[in-house]
Amino acid sequence: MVNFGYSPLSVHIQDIDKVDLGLSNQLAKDDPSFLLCIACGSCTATCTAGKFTNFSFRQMCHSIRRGENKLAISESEKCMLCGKCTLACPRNVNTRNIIRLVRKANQNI
Amino acid sequence: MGKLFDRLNSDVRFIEGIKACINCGTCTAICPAAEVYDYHPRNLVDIVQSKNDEAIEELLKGDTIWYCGECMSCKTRCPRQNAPGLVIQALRKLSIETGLFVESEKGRQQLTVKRMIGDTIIDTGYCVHFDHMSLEVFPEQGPVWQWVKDNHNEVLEKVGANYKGTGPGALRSIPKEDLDELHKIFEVTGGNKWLEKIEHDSAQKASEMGLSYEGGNNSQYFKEVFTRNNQEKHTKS
Amino acid sequence: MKSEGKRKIWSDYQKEIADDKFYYVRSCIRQNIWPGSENTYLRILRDILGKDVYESEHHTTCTGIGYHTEVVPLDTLQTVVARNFSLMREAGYENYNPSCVTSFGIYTEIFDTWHHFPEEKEKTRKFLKEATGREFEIPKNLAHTSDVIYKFRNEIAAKAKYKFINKHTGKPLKVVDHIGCHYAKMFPAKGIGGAEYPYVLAGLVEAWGGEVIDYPERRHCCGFGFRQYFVKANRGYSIAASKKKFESMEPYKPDFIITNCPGCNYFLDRWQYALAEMEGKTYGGDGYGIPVLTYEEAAGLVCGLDPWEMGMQMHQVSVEPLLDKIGVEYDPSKKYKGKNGEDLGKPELPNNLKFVE
Ligand code: SF4
Ligand code: SF4
Ligand code: SF4
Ligand code: SF4
Repeated sequence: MVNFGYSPLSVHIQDIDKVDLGLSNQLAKDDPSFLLCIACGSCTATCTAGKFTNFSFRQMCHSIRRGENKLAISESEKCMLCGKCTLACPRNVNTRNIIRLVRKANQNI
Repeated sequence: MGKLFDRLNSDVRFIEGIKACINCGTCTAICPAAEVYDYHPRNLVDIVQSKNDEAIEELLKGDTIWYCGECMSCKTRCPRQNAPGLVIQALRKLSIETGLFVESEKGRQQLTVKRMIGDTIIDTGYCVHFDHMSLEVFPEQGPVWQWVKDNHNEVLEKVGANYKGTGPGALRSIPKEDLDELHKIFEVTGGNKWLEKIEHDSAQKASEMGLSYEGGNNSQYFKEVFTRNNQEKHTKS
Repeated sequence: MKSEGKRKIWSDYQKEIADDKFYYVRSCIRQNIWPGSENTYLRILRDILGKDVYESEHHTTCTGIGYHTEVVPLDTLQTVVARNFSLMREAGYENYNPSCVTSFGIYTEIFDTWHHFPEEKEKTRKFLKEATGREFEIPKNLAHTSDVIYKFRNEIAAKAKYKFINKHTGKPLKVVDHIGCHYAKMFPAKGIGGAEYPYVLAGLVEAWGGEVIDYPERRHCCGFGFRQYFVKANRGYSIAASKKKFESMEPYKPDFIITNCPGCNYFLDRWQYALAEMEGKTYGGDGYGIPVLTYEEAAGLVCGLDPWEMGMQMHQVSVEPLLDKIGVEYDPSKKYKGKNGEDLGKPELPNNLKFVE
C-alpha cells in the first residue's frame, strides 16, 4: 500500500441499520415513556448531578438510540437518582426509572 | 480593539449568518466537519450568540473555527435560515485581524494556504496553476498526472488548451495589464495588507517556536504547519 | 390541491437561463485539471447549437478559492468580481456564464449581499473606480455552464449519436450525480431543482436515456473544504467525505458519476485511486472504479465527440469500460498520442486500481 502522508479520518456516524439497538428496544418495552422523549434538554438543565459532572440525561437517551450502549451505561453511573428531572420533563418521561433500567441492563450483561 | 462581539457584528456575513439560533442541532447533524472532528456548529453558534467576549476570544485562539469546510450544507437545512459557515468566515477574519490565528495548530496553516493560493493569484491571475501542482505536494493526483506533466505541451494542445499562449483559452497567460489591475485592486481593497499580515504574524510565531522561516515551502515552519496533525486532539473521543 | 402545491414548490426552483449571447468565464480548476471539458463546452455551444459565446482573455480568477481559504478578504473578492462584470459590459454582453461552481456560488452570494446591503455594492463601486477607473453593472442573467447545457438538453438529444443505454443489455445506464455544494446549498432558488432535489444533471441524464439513482449520500459534500484539502495535515477530512459517498453509491452499481463542479470531479476521480492504493478498496467496475464525467464530457459523448480530444485520457479512473457499454467508437491506440500522432509514452500503472493503458 502507498503512504500518502495521511489517511481517511474515521467518520462518526451511526448507521441505524447496523448498530445494536438492543438496549433501546428493551427500554421501550420495560418503560414505554422512553419513547416520548423529544430531546428538549429540560432534564439536563435541571439535573443535580449535572452541576458537578458533565452528565446529561438527554445525551444519554440520545446515545442509547444511536446504539452507543456502553457509553450510555457508564454515563448513567453519574446520576444521583434525585428525580428532579422527572418533575421538569414536559413529556412525562419516567427519567429516574429509565436510569435504573439502564443500570440494571449493565448488571445483566 | 473594540469589543470582539461588536467587531463580529460589523461583518455582513455575521449579520446574515445568525438570526436567533434555536439550538436544534440540525447543522451539526448535516456537517461533514462534525463527522470527522470534535466540531459542533450548533455549539459554536451558541457561544457566539451568548456575546461573551471571553468565550469568543477562546474561539479565535483555538482550532475549532478552522475545522469547517465552508461547504454551506448547514445553510440549506437550518430551520432558522442561519448559516454557521458564514459565522465561521466572520470569526476567521477576526482571528486573522487580531493575529490570534497563529495560536492554534489549525490556524497556523493559514501561512501555507496564503502561499499556495494567495501568492498564485498575485503571480498568475489564477487561484491554482498547472505549473505549481506537483505530485510531491499532491500525491493523490496519481500517475496519470505525472504523465500529463511530462507531456504537458502535447497533451494540453490536443485537448484544446492555450497553455501560456496569448489571446483567450484555457491556461493562457493572463496579460500584464490585467494582472496590473488585479494588483491594484488588491492594494486598494486591503488584499495585500491581509496577505502581509499572515506572513508577518507567522514569521513572529516561527521565531517564538524556534523554527526557521523563509519564503517558499522548505522552511521548518512551513513544513511544520503543513503536516503537523495532532489528530487525537481534533477527533472526538 | 396537493399537486398544485408541489408544482408551486417546483416552480420556485426553476430559473431563467438566457438562450444566446453568453459571456463565458473560465474556471481556474477546470482549466488546470479538465481543460478539455471547457473546450468541449465551447464546441457544443458554438458548433453544434450555433450559439454566440464570447470569451475574453482579460478576465482573471474570481479569487473564490482564496476567499474560502481566508487569504482574500471580502472587499477584494467583490471588487475582482466587479471587474469581471465590467469586462463583460465592455464586450457588449449581458449574460454571465461561469464554468465553475465555486465561482457561481460566489456570484450568488455577492448578489444577495448587494441586495441586502446596498452599501457593500457602493463600496465596491468606489474600490473598482479607484483601482482601475472602471464602472460595472450587474449581469442581466447569471447561469452556470451546466444550466445552459440543461436548457438545451432536448436539442442535444435530438442530435445525439449515442444514448446512455447499455448496448449489451438494452437497459438505461445507472448514473449517480454530484451537484457540488455551492451550486444550490446557499441559495436553493438559484439552482435547477434546488439543493434537495437537484435536477440540473439529472435532467441531462434522463433526456439522454440514462437512469438517475437517488443514492442516500447524494447531497453530501465531496470533502474539498478548501483548506481541508490544500493543507496536507487536513486531507484526511477531504478523502473521508468522498469515501462516504462511494460507500453509499456502491450498492447501486452505478455505471458512472456525473459532476457539476470541476473540483468535485477531480476529487471523485482521484480519491478512488487514492483509496485503492491506501486501502486496497475499489468501488465498482471490477476493480477499475466508477468513471467520473464532467457534464461537458457526458454531453460530448452523446454528441459523438472523440473522447481523447475531450481530455478523457486525463482521468485516473479509466473511462473505456463506460465507452464500451455505450458503444462509443474510439481508437484506443490514440489515447496516449499527441495531436499529430506523436507517441507520448504511457502513465505508470497504479498498484491496485486497474487501469486501461
Ligand atoms: S435523577 Fe439523575 S438525571 Fe435526574 S436530575 Fe437527578 S441526578 Fe439528574
Ligand atoms: S426533559 Fe424529558 S423530553 Fe426533555 S430531554 Fe429530558 S427526558 Fe427528553
Ligand atoms: S441548524 Fe440553525 S437553529 Fe439549529 S442549531 Fe444550527 S444554527 Fe441553530
Ligand atoms: S459550512 Fe462548515 S459548519 Fe456548515 S456544514 Fe459545512 S463544514 Fe459544517
